[in-house]
Amino acid sequence: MGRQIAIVEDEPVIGQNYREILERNGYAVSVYCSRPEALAAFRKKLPELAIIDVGLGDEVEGGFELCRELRGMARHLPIIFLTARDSEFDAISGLRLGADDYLTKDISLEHLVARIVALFRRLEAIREPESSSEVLQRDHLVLDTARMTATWMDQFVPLTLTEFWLVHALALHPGHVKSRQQLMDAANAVLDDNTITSHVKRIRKKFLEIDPEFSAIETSYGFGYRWNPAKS
Amino acid sequence: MSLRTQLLIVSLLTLALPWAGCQYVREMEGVLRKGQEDSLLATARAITHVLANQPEALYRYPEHMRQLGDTELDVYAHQLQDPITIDGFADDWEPFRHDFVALPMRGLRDPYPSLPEQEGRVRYIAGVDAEDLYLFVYVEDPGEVLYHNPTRDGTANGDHLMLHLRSEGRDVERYWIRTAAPGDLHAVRETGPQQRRRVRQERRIRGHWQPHATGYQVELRVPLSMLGPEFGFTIMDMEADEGGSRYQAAWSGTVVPEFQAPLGYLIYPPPILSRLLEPFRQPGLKVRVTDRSGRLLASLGQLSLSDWLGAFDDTAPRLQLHDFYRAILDTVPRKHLIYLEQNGRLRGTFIEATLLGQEQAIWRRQADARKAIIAVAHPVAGAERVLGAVILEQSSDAVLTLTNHAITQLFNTTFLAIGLAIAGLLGFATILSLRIRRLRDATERSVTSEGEIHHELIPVGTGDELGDLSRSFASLLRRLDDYNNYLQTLASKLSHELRTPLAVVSSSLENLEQETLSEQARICSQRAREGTGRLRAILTALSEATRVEQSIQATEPEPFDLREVAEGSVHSYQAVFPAHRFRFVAPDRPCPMTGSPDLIVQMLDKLVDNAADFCPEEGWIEIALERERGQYRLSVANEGPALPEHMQEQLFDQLVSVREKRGDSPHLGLGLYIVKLIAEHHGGSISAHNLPDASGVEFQVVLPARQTR
Repeated sequence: MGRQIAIVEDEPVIGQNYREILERNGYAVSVYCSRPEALAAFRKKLPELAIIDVGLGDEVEGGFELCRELRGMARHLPIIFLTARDSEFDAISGLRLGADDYLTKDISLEHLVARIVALFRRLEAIREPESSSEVLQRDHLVLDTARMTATWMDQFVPLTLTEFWLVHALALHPGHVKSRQQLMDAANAVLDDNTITSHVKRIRKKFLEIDPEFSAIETSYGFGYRWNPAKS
Repeated sequence: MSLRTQLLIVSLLTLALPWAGCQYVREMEGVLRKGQEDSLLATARAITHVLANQPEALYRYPEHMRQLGDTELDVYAHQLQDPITIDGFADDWEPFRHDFVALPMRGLRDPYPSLPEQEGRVRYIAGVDAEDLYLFVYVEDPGEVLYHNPTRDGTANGDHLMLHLRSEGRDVERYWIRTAAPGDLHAVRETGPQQRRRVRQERRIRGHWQPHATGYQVELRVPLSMLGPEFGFTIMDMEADEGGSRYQAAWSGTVVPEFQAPLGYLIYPPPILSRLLEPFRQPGLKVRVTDRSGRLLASLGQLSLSDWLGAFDDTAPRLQLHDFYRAILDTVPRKHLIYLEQNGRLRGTFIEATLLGQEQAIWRRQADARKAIIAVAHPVAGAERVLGAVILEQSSDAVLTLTNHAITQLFNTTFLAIGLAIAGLLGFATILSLRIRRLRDATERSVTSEGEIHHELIPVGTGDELGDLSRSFASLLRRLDDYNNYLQTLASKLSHELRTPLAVVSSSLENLEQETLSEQARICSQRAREGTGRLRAILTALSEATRVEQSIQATEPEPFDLREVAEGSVHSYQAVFPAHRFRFVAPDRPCPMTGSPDLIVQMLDKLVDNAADFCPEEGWIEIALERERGQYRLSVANEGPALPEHMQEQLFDQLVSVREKRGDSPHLGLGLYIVKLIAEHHGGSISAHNLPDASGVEFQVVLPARQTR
């Protein structure tokens, strides 16, 4: 039996489609249509990963509420928001509540599966600290590609999966400008330019909280971004 | 025409009020004048009645009154007011200087056999006081003045005057006035029979002989007691021939120098007339009586002097107001005197008509005078014919109505009231149009030229129709704003709502592809996937504007170099659009500004995207950055078809596109709208226009160097 994934989705057809594709990839999937129903099930048994829609039936922000409750029950449970809402504000709210990723329903199922795989991998890597970790070090930055964790000046940087992949793509070749398209490919995401910009902004903010002097990610106007080796 | 002008015109209707007032006053004026005329005429009738009963008051001698009268021979003596000094000078006669009677000099023998009758060669004037008759004669001698030579024969052998006097029922008495030298003199008379004629001095008749450049002048005094009804004088000019003998050369005067020549009457105002008129004396009333030939016999009273002086007394403002009323209301004709006094006679149609027996009443007014004068004349009817005329004159205010205090007060009040009414109406109209204009301005201000409602109209608090109008404007704008907002969010709401069913379709398709499908089914599924891809792109584009708006609100401005940002972007465009030639023009100095560089890049992307779409292959795209007076001008020009004229303003609105060809990627006309949003967020503006040579199109963004918002 594969890993247990819970899908909370008020649109039954989408839920069924996701269930089918995930089951085909070897996961055990349970689909819930409303927040109370999902919550009741989670109280009995926690899933290993939750995919939550923001709007649940009549509750416009039921997904956010559910995420908060779920995070209260399990601190390290990977949570993915999968929603039709594509506004910046919603994405920021979702990620602040402790979600690991915020995806719009535009994402292809392949990409979704890739993310789920990556999240589980990170989860495993954290659980097994002794395993052979692949570490990428750039001055103060240390990226554990197995666990998908990042530290700056030995402090943990709480990056989401998408953010981790973006940082990884930039830091892999310091000084090289990565275009937005290249970064998008690296993050396995279908995002427009604007979303990349806001992701980079969030990443900078997270680093700045640790180190106010942080300036390693540099904007190259018209092209994209690059990891600035000189400043580190 | 503005509301104010219209109301002003309407307010002019109130002027009908003073017009009606004027009409009324004129009517009343007529009545008052008629009243004054009537009362004066009544006085005149009373006087004529008295005079008709006592004709001797006009004619001292009944035979004179009965005579049909050739009055040319008569001598008229003016009533003298001041004493006359017998000195041979005319100074004492100054008040009568216009009344001198001119007589011709008539020739008798050579050297003047045919001396033309020259007017003015001799002038005389006569006057009486209580006791004496005074006579002043001015003579221009056509030849030489010859004085009396006592050594020679003759009563008077030089130039001399002869007085002819006749009392009732007696012969004519003659007195000579002659002198051997200039100076005082006495008249002489002849006494005794023809053969033993003697010359004796008559001391009662005194005179003074005064020579002047061309002749001489004589002043005489004769006691009235010597005078009868008839009187005349002859002036004789003597000349000397070669042999020294003297002869009569020319004559003048009222009596022809012939034997038994007729005499005229001596006419002067009878004293009894003044006594008869005395009861009619009134202040401001001038009474004059003439005989039947128009000679002034009596003059009583004066037109009050202050009436004439009043014309020069302009100090009182009240009078100026009166002047104004007078100018409006006065109907008295501005005429000069209608009759003149000449040689003691009153002349003019007014007098002549009266002497023919007609009653007269005339209003007249002298130019510039405030006062009008009413003149009334009534004939004195005798038994057979008109004996004379009584003329009464009285001055009064030119506009009688104004002498009535109450009516003047009414006038003042009416004008004040009308002034207030017009001022009030005008003020009200001004306030009204001001309010309407303010409402209009507020309405225009609250809607931008793009039709957006950018601030709310504050309704006016008043409860009248204008307040209602402003309130309904406000609610109208509010509703319009709501609808605008609805329209603006419609796209993003729509895309949001469509995303879920799209996810259903695309996830179902992806699931389907996991199944084993026939080749045909796989192709169909592939096509369906492409369709959903396009649909998704459309939805993304639809909500893009909203997302840009959100991200604009989320960005914090930071200082950056616009030139660096633009330059960096331009380098990448050549790679993205290899089919076009890019040019970049920028100043060599940095262009610092505050804002969001990411948004500026995004704006530039959209502009270049747009330019590339319209630019033909191998065409050029020019990106230029200029700095001028505190602002940057960032322009993107491309070769290509010109913009339709009417679309240039709407280009930057949502969902407006001028694209003709339909490409693969959807165009919802949001690109330029986003450009506008970003430009406006930076306090700038955007415009589009065709290049002057019509070779292409230029989009121009003007950004302030310093962030103002």
